[in-house]
Order: sequence, then structure tokens, then C-alpha cells
Amino acid sequence: MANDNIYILNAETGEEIIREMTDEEQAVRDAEISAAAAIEAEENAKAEADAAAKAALLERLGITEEEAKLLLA
Amino acid sequence: MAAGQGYIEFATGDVLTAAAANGYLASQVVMVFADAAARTAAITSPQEGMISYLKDTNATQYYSGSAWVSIGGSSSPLTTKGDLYTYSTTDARLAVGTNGQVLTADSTTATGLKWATAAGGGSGLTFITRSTISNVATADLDNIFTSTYETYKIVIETAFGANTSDDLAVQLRYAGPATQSADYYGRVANLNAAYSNNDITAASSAILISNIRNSADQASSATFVINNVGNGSRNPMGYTIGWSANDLGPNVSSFYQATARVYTGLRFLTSAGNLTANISVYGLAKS
Repeated sequence: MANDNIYILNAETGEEIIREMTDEEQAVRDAEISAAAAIEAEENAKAEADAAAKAALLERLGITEEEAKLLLA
Repeated sequence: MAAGQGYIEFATGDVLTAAAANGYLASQVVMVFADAAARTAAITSPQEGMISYLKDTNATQYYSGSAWVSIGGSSSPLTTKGDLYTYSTTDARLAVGTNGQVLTADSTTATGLKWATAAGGGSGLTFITRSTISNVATADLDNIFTSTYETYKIVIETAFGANTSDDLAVQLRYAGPATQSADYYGRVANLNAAYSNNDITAASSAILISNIRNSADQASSATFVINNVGNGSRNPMGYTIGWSANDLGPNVSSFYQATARVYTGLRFLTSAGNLTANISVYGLAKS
């Protein structure tokens, strides 16, 4: 499978190049994508946990989310 | 040598004398020589108004009465794309400047001209470059930062990725060229109804806009400001305000780079897929 393409502009000369990434560059790119995916998964898990905790708290208080917003407004 | 005698119209039966041949013909044609030395050897006593052509320099010259003078200049000194034809004490070449420079009068130079960075009217923004980036994994804009400016404004238009949740991110570039792929710290927030925000901690890149979506007709856009990039003892800082097409709301972010060095460019990339965008870079005048 072909590597991704990279665009390079040298603003000093105006030269533009579009070329395929080297294997080394592709490996770096793949690692960064994996790292970004891991961070996003962690953020999503935290958001879901926060939402669940919020719902549980509202239930204990016996009020709706709209009523909670009114209290905090 | 005979002096040129002007014009004569011979009539039928006229005798062509040596004086007429010399004065009306030989002295009034374009004489071709290999070079000036050959001409000097052949015409020991040039006459005012004589015309010659030198093959070595492709110069056509007339004799003024005291010297041979080029007609319409000598051979062109131009050699390279962008050269300007100027004059010092002779015809001279002025090589093109770098992108964005303007032609400036300068009496201290040999030609009285030079290419120089535009002063920007003393204030305001100066255009540096614009790139049309289409469906690539990464986009490097090198040599956009110089000592001329400390702060840069970058306008990002019609940005989209391969997936609706792709984030648009940036990394700094430096001489090599090489990419700074560590030590980014900051925060990105979506100010839509379901407000969300995330830390950027020791990351490999800094997110400018999150969830930029994946089509041209629902693309994202932003204005990104960065400074301290050209100063090896300061940490670059950037902040962005933009539109997140997927989150349907304003998006703000800011970051700093913990490794101070002289940075010269930027790499734009998304969190996963390929990037398409139009990116313009402007420098903010220091004074």
C-alpha cells in the first residue's frame, strides 16, 4: 500500500512539492494518529463517566436537568 | 578611412569612383567584426557615423567621432528568472529578491535599486504566502517565519479532513527542515450548546480546531495567531478562534511550545485523515 502524500511549500522560493512520505515519515504519522485516537478515546470515556455521574446526582436530588440549570442560573 | 558622405542616387552612365564607393558605400554599411580588436585593426581611422556589429558581444555600435557607442545597449546582462535590466555606469543585472520583497530606491547601491522587505506602511499586516492544500496527510509551510516579524496571523479557509471528527492540528518546523513533534501544551474548547473542552498536555501537536468535518460544503475555518517563533529564547504561543463545522459552534484554542528555538515554519495536519484547506500567512509589523 502506498504511503500518504505530503505537501511542502518553501515560502522563500515559492517552490511547492507534493510527494509520497518516506517509510520513516509514514511511521511517525501513523504513531501520531494512534496517539490522537488514544487521547480521544480517553476523553470520550471521561465525558461518558461525567454524564453518568451527573445523571445519578440529579436522580438522588430528585430534580431534572432543566431544574438544576434554573438553580444555577 | 573615408568619411560617410550621406546619400547619392546614381544615374545611368555614372562612373562609380573609389571616392564614391568609399564615401557612399563602404563607410555607410554595417561592418561585421569578430570583436572590437578586429575592428580597431581594420579601421585605423574611424569616421563619425560609421556603424559596426561585434559578433562576440552581439553589440551594434556607431562611431561618435571619438568612441564606439552601443546602439540600443550591448548584449543583455539578464541571465535568470526575475532579473531586472538596470544601469550603474554600464548596463547591469539586478537579481530578483525573495518572495514578498518590493523594489526600493537606494542611492548607496551600484544601480540605485535594491529588493527589500516591504515596510508595511509602518504598521499592519504584510502578506507572506498562501497555499492551496488538497487531500494530503501533512502540509509543511517552510520559511514563513523570519526575523522581520514577531507575530503572524494565519487565516485558514475551507478546512476539512477525511472524517467528521478529524481535528486540525499544527506543529512547528525549524531549520533542517525538521518538525517539532513534542512538548505542546494548551487547551481547546467548543463553545456550542454541549460545551466541551480538552487539555493539550505534552502532546505531539497542538489542536487548532476540533472536529472540522469532512466535506468542502461543510468545512471549517479559523484565524490563528502565533508569536515568539523567531526567537530562540522564547516559547512560541498561539491562539485560534474558528468555526467547527461538525460541532456547529465557535471553537477556541490556545497552546504554547515548551521547547524554545528559532522556528521557521508550520506543519498542518489532522488527527487521522488527509487535509484540504486554503492557508494564508501574514506578518504583523513590529512598529
